[in-house]
Amino acid sequence: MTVSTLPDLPALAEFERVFLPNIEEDKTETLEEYLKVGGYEAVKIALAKKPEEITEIIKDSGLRGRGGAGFPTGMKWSFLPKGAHPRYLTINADESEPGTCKDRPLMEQRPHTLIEGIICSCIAIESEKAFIYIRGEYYKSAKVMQDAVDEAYAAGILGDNVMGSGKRVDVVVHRGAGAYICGEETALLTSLEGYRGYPKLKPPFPAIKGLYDKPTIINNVETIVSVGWILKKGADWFKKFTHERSTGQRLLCVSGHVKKPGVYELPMTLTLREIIYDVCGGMRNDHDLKFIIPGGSSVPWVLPEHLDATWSMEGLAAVGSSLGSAGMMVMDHTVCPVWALANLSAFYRHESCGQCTPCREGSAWLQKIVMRIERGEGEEGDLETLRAIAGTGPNTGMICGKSICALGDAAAWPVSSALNCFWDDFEEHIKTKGCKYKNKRYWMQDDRFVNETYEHKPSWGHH
Amino acid sequence: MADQSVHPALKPGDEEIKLVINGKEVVGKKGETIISVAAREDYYIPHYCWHPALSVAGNCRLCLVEIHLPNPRNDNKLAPLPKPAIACQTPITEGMHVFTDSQLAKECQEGMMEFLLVNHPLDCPICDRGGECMLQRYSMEYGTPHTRMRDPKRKYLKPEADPLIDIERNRCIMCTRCVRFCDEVAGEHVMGVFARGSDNYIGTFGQGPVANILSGNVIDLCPVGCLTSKPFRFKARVWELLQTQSTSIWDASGSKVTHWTRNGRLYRTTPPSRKYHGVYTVNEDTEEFIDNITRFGSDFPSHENRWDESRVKFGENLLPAAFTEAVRRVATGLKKVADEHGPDSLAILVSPRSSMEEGYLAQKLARDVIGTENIDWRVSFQTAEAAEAAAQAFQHANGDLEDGFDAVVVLNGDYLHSVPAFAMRLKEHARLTGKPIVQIGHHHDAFLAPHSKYKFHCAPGSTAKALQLLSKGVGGDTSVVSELAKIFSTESSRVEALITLLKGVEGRGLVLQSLEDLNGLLLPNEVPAALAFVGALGGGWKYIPTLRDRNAFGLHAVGAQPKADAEGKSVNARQLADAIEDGTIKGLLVLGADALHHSPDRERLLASLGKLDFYAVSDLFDSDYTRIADVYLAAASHLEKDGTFCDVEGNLARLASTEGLVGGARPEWEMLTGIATIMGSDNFAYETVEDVFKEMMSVIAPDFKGTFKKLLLAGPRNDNSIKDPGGARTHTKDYNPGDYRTDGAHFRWTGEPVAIDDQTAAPRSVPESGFDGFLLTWGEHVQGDDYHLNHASIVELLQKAPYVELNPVDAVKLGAETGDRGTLDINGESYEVELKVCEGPAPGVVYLPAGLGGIKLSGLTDTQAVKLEVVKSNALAEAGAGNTA
Amino acid sequence: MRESNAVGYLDDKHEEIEALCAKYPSRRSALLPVLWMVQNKLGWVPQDAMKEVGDIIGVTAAEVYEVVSFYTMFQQKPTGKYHLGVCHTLACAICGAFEAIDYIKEKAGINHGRISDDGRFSIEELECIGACAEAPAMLVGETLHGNLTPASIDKILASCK
Repeated sequence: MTVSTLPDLPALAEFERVFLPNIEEDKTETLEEYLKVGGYEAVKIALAKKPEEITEIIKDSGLRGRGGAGFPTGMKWSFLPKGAHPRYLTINADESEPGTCKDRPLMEQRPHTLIEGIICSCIAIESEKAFIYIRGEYYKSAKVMQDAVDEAYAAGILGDNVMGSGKRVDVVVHRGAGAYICGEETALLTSLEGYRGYPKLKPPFPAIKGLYDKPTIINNVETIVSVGWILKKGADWFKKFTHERSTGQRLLCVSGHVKKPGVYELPMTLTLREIIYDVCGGMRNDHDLKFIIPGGSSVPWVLPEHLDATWSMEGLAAVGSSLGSAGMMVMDHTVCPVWALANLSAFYRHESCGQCTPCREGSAWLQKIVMRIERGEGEEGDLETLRAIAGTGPNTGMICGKSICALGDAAAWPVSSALNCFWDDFEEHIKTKGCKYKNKRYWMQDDRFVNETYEHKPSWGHH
Repeated sequence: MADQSVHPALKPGDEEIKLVINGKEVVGKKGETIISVAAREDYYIPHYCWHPALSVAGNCRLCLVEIHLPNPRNDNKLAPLPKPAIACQTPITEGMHVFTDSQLAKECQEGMMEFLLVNHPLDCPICDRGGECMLQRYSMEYGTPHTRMRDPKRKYLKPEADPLIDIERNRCIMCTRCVRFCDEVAGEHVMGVFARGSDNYIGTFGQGPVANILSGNVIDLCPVGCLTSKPFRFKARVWELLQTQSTSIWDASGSKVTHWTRNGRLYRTTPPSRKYHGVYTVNEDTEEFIDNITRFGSDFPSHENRWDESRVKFGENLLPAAFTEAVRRVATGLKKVADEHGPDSLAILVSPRSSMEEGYLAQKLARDVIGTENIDWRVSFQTAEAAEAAAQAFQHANGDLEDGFDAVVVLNGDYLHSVPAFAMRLKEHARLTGKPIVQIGHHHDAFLAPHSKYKFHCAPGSTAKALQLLSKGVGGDTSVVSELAKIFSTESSRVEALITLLKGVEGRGLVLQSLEDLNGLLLPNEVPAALAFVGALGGGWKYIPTLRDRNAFGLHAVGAQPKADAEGKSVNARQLADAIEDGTIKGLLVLGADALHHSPDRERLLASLGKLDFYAVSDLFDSDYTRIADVYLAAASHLEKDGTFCDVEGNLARLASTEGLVGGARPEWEMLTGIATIMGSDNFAYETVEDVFKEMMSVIAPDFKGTFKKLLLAGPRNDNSIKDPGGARTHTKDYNPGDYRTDGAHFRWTGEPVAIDDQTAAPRSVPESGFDGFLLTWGEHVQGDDYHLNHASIVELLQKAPYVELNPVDAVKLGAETGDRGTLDINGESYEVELKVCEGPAPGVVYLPAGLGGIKLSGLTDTQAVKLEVVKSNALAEAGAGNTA
Repeated sequence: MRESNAVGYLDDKHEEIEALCAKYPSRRSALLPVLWMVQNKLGWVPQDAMKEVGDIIGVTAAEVYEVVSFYTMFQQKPTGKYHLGVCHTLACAICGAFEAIDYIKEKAGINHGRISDDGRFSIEELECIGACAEAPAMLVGETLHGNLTPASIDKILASCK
């Protein structure tokens, strides 16, 4: 299964896994099973507190959003305008960032922990209605969540009298239909409202004017699950494992060329080296490590020289990258960085919503150039053009900081990062009109993105 | 600025905000965006997606500006925002410093311009937008001269979606103005953005047309060459054309237009062009939108049947003659009839599209020279009684949309297809301000329906009764509630809510009445009822009657109809055929043959003309009405003459000649001057039409302050256009919003409201219930049969196929849905129509736009029961077919 | 295309749709779920169904088409009985996704276009489907299969009767 056991590391001696403990022995998919292991205790705790007390506990715990931006959750909640009702809680389960696959096991294997967290959060923000927006590809997650919600309604845990408290919490499970952009919080809202998933112009921010123009809090699945555990076990428990301002446990998804890819529940105190070589058992076939994309495809790449960086928000920021959504892709020396970038650029081109100029045109242009270089048709000046478009860091270049949402930046960062890390490889591709990596996949030669006519869908996929 | 209590840009009560733009201290009001304030202060910020009439999309990113804000945590020292912000959406804040031309702002502009051109085909030499393309302009002003694009460009298929609008998606920059216009202003989301990311494109569902009377405006709204005019395609370059500011002769809303001509030929008609960077062009920021008939139908004078030489009958033949000779023949012909049978044996009929000057001179000829009251323009009504009611309505008209409204009561009618631009402005005001629209009657306007707070349907003929009861209701009589609830088939609580709403209006209220409804059959009791209702509502309430006829109000104002006390003693337009038949009228002068064509019983009228001793007509075309004349006077068309028109709101606008006269055609004011002079009057010594205007205004509006020249200047109602550095290229003049208002002109009635008695208000007889069919209601449709439109070059694309509106309740009973076909039986004749299910007609009522597909409704004297049968086809499958490219 | 005079695609779902609409503060929110109903029933979303959905939700067909064409999981062309969605984004790509795609096409008999000759399978390359730790991965209908190998692909295809 994707949920993987941890090795006996001294650093993890006192670490307690709660999100996804040993799944094989500890099945908690049904309400009955979950109640046996102390399920919904957090709701009782929350019901006994005032809303602002809960928010204070969450603030105290240092919990930061697990979706990628890492915004402090308690602070986000406190932005809600006083007395404005109705207000909505929206759970972002549109986990689409390449390399990230943590919310799926959370929902599929312990759906009630999410419902528990939702009820606690609704009490804290005084909302009576929550929406879980699950990406369309997660058929099973949606089904399991819907079943769990139905169970919770039947048991009086959800509905107009939450566990006999007289409080009302409704939960609606809503499915997306295949759009990465809907993971962007305001795009998620427009999608939930039944429109094309276009990000909204900000300000106003969702906490002021969100879903159906009402104050709305949007939190990631893992964030909301954490809320329940923090209430159960206390803020101090959550802060036990802390690196700088990164507190508590996180689900790490490791994919790519390691021996044991998987989803690991870890404190943010280990180094990248410990994660790859101890937690994940080292590189596949004992190959050399080429580079790591540590936080989902959008974040800057990390080279082996930074392996001793701490796997935390601050630790990765110190080496110029980001923890993002904690989806770590590990590449060994067989991977051509130009090819890898072409793959990611194609992804962003495909997933740009097309609403604003820089992202729509920029993501496609970047992809065209990168793919051309990959094909061995690069020309002198291409790298300078890539640099000019993608920039050299935050808010530089022609896209970053100029688009409606962060997808534009996300499309540009891998390019600028790849150029930073592997300029020589790119130059070599252009000079030699070819690629030295032996196991390169040649699929990109069937130039699917260029020079087609588009009447219907898309230039991606087969027709 | 120090001593000013209120900044000129603000109104009292606005919250003032001080900010700095490019180093200059400026003032704005709270809630304004940077782009609006900057425009007012002469700082032009480039933009594509932003448009003053549309919602903010914020997608082109061209208006990114650099912003520095005072930081309260650092002693209010200025700190730059980490990212540039879009000026179109960012509200101004106190102490904000905006830089529209800083290094960062310029980089953003250059970057966006490069992006927008990355996939652009750069086919300017074959693009019709050339010369007025914002992509061209901004490239020069804000772009870079080079491109780094080396890859193949994106290419789209070219759909044949709309017969009038050409879509070239490769040139599209996805600003979505067209989509937002259709959705927000034109009222239906028929255009959309399809697919995703860099492959997205604009279009219509199933390549269908943008079927809307306002659709042509997307052509002007498009800042690039994506949406262009099909009729204008490849015909001319815009800079080769002469522009003339004029006014529409189609839309009684009073739309201002620019005619674009060359060598005497009209190439296109657009909303008023305005100066942009020294060049007059269709400014893509214009908020003036025009209907498609005005836009595409104004070229009818070039029709091949044009007779531009006057003709005189010799024996059986109508032969070309000099203008002076023709005028002499008319004068002597009229004089002969008057001498033989008396002055009241003569009648003058004026086209409802005549100018006010023409109407003024015609009535002066009739009254002062001939000595008769037999003058009229009200040709389109079903009965003489209706024409009289219309005169009463115009006599009491006193409302306009200039300052908006706090509530509006809309009575029976299809306003969008009668006065399109007026209906659009009304809806926009309601949509943007949330002010309530209340619709009352047997036929509601489907276009206004989505924005109508209350909709009360009643049976045909009951509107007057309902208004009478409502008048009592707002006066405090609560006993009427239950009866009203019965008439409206609704709960008492809704009626009470309506009365509360109407009573609660403290500012401006409007009552709208379409004189088109049933072509006036019900007006004799509905007009007095509406006027009494306005009176009962009290001070802030005003009344606007609407009629499709462009210059109805102007002609009424100059007295081109029998005086009220002469009605009945004189012959009006609706009595003309009878009067000719029985020999009362022996001589007839018609100014504009459309006056005859628009008569509901035009066949009878046409047949009767042969009985006249003398029949003279001025017109443009060789037609049934002109071929039989004793004298044909070749008239100058709306493109060739000057004159003044008045719209439904009482605003004056000047029709202006584009390139002068054609052939031997002359404007009617010259004809009338000549006829009167030859008939012996010395009171017609006019040198120019301006002389006529001056005399006319001194008679009908002694306090009028404007001038004829100034009326030429057309412009938007709320001029927040971007200012420009100057340097005109064409003969177009600048516009001053105050110039064309008719302040001082007594076109607006200010007296006491009329009373209405129970007998007048009593419901008209309607067919017994239990009949097998629907009650018919109808009105003229701007896209229907029209004498002038029939001569337009693309008439077949402008006239709509016949359809009927049907209430959803009835649609369910019939199993019908929009798009199905049906047959409509009226008086034994069967017509094939398309069905449109909407909330317009009341249950049990069908609405037929008259004139579509040649459906005539002559001889109807009361509400008719008609049969409608559905020919069920699979509309869904049809819509799906042909979509797969 | 439907036979003429055929009933609507969703005629048997009106109660379900109304219940769905009631869950949201705005009727329009039910648009995606209703489109899913159509796709679950037909395997794709034909254009006449878009018009029907628009009438039910109260929006124009153009608005429905805007939405359908935005979300890539809504199929605008018929699919095979089993629709295979194979992930090709980086995490799967570096673990052999393209080899897997080639292998699946060969074994499923998809020689040209996206539907197999016998109509049983259709294939689509998907962007990241959130199974990175089990790369390469694919969706067969609604079921996720990870850690694809030639042997497991054989087994999966064989089970698709």
